[in-house]
Amino acid sequence: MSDVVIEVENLSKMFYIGASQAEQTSLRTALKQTATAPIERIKRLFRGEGGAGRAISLEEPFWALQDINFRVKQGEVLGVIGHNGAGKSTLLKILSRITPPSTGVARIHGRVGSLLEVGTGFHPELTGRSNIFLNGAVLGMGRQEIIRKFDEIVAFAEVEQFIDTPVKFYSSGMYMRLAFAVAAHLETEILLIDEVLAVGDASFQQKCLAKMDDVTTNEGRTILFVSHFPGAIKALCNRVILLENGYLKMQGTPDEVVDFYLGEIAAPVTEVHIPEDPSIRVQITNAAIEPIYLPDGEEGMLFKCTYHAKQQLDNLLLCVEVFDSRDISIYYSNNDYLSDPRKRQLGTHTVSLVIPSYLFRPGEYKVAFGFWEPGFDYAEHFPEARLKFSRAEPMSRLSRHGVAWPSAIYKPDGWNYLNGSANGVEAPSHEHA
Amino acid sequence: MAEITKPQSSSTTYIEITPPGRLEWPSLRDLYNYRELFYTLTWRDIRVLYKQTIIGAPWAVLQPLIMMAIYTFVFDTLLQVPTTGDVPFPLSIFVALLGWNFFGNGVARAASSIIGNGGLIRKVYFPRILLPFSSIISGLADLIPAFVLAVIFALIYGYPPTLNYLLLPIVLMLLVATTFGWALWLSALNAQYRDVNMAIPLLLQILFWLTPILYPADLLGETWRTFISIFPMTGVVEMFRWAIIGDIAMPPLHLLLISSISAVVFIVGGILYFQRAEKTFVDLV
Repeated sequence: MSDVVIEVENLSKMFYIGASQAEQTSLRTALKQTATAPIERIKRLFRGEGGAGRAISLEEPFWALQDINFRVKQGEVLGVIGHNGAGKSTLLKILSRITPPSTGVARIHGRVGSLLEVGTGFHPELTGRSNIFLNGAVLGMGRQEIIRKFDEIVAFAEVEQFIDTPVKFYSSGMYMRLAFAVAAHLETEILLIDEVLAVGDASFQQKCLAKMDDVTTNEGRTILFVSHFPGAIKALCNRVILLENGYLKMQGTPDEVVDFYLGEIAAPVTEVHIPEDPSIRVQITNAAIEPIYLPDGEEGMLFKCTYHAKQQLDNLLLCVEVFDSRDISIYYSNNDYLSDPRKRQLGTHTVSLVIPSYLFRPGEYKVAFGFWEPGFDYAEHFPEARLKFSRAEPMSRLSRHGVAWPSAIYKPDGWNYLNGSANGVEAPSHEHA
Repeated sequence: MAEITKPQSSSTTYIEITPPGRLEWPSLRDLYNYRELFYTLTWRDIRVLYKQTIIGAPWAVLQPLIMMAIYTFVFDTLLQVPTTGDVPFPLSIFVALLGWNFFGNGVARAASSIIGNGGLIRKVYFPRILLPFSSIISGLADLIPAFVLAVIFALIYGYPPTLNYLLLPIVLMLLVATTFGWALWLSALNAQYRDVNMAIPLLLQILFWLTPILYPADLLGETWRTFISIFPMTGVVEMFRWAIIGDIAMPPLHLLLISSISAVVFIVGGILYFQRAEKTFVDLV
């Protein structure tokens, strides 16, 4: 008897991207497109190409997954690790039958329970109690089965007091605890779990890890666990696959794959040298970044740049821009307001800039730099010369707060109560410390 | 490893996930596994129907009653349109509206069921066919009280129950099948082409006037009568009249056959089309 429960063969998934590009086109193009689109769509309809409702000409195929092959045995916990946009979530969505693959096949032996996003199948207006039944039904669980497990689910989720409160009043932590509890107590043979442990406090995370361990070793259930957190992957999984840009880059033991992955992301580019180019008026020869501690104890990045000015620099600005892993520009600065006579002097100079990276949420960043002349179509970019750094935080804090939020800026402190004074003895405030 | 308690039914479930495009029949096992969800969705639809209304459930009978009053005034009092077998006009129309309202409201609700449940579709798998099905089945909550009222009306007008009542389950099945067939096509098409949403009220108007609700079918010539039998509600409406009122001629069998065949064609085609389209819903809603 084969004990392979998940078998993925040549699986690929293609999306059409184009919506974002469509937004960037001019109003004229948009109007023109709106006017001609119905005719185009009807033409396509008769040619049997279906799937209208999307923009026509701006669509570009994007492969979220390409030619993925792997197998999972019964009772195994397979970790899936990779950067944002590597295809992890798409893989889980295909395996839980939410979205179909474009090519290839996945064979699954057993019922699949999935926990993909906060509040999957929850209805905000209904109480916790009704939602357990609704959620159970959505996950393919019978009423009797839910009744049998009801108390266990409620106890595990630690929501006894609020079980008859509409879930819209729940905190995100309570929401997730309840969702995890329902999924974990379902008698499905396979559990697909996506970043669940990002929500909930440390003790609940421990409880989830213990429960996942329990369902695999004692109940013989199989888990596919997608995570950003190397710690959780190492603690829980028997085997790990690494996805990169839609490809399966590596599979192996948790230690080997996680270490490889960490080695890859932790390889920052701290210094670049740019070869001399005689046609450039202001030549940057060298740029570097290094971490520094700011006066208030926060950590920042110090950008240092050496350039050689061969001409007068009256209007030229030195610009620095930081992009996050989604290639969104989150920080920009130039030396316009710097009033230093050396700005206008010829010769070789070294300047520095403090980048307040403590404001950025944990992740990887690229630093671009160059000279730019306002009002003129002149710029000295060095597109191939990008500095790279990553901002990390202790795993405990990271998993509690940072990652779940999409904001570019993340600063957990800065909170204060303005009324009265803290009366707890064991809660010393910063002011009195 | 002997102490490992394997979950039950593990050996029986097997899923193959493939790209869309094949013509597939829905898996009955899958549908059976998700029966709880079907009950939950249906019950939710029923509750949502009258939630936040002041009158609440009596709307189920108020709506056909008011429609009956208006149509009686215009078509009976003003225009003096005849009825099949000279049955009093209000009774004839109320009975006909039983089937029509189930069809019209059901199709309209089902058509928006895919888009309306986009949140659920994006997050979890379940057989999507449950959505249009539960939206039409929830229409039974309207049909049953209206049916009781129709029986009372028939009694008041002097048409006691006859053996024809025994045929009601078959009529009901034809009604549900017809509605489901149309609901499948329109809900799948609506998810893909939002134009359908614009066309549905118009389509229902056309079907309403093509169905012998406000006029007796025999008012039409033989050719026209055969033609309108293709719209399956014709058969259902005539059968409802015949089953409840009793004291009128049974609609010709070959016309009922046309209606039934049309219903079956719609439902089979609808299921295949829906199953083929369902995988793409998540990218469209």
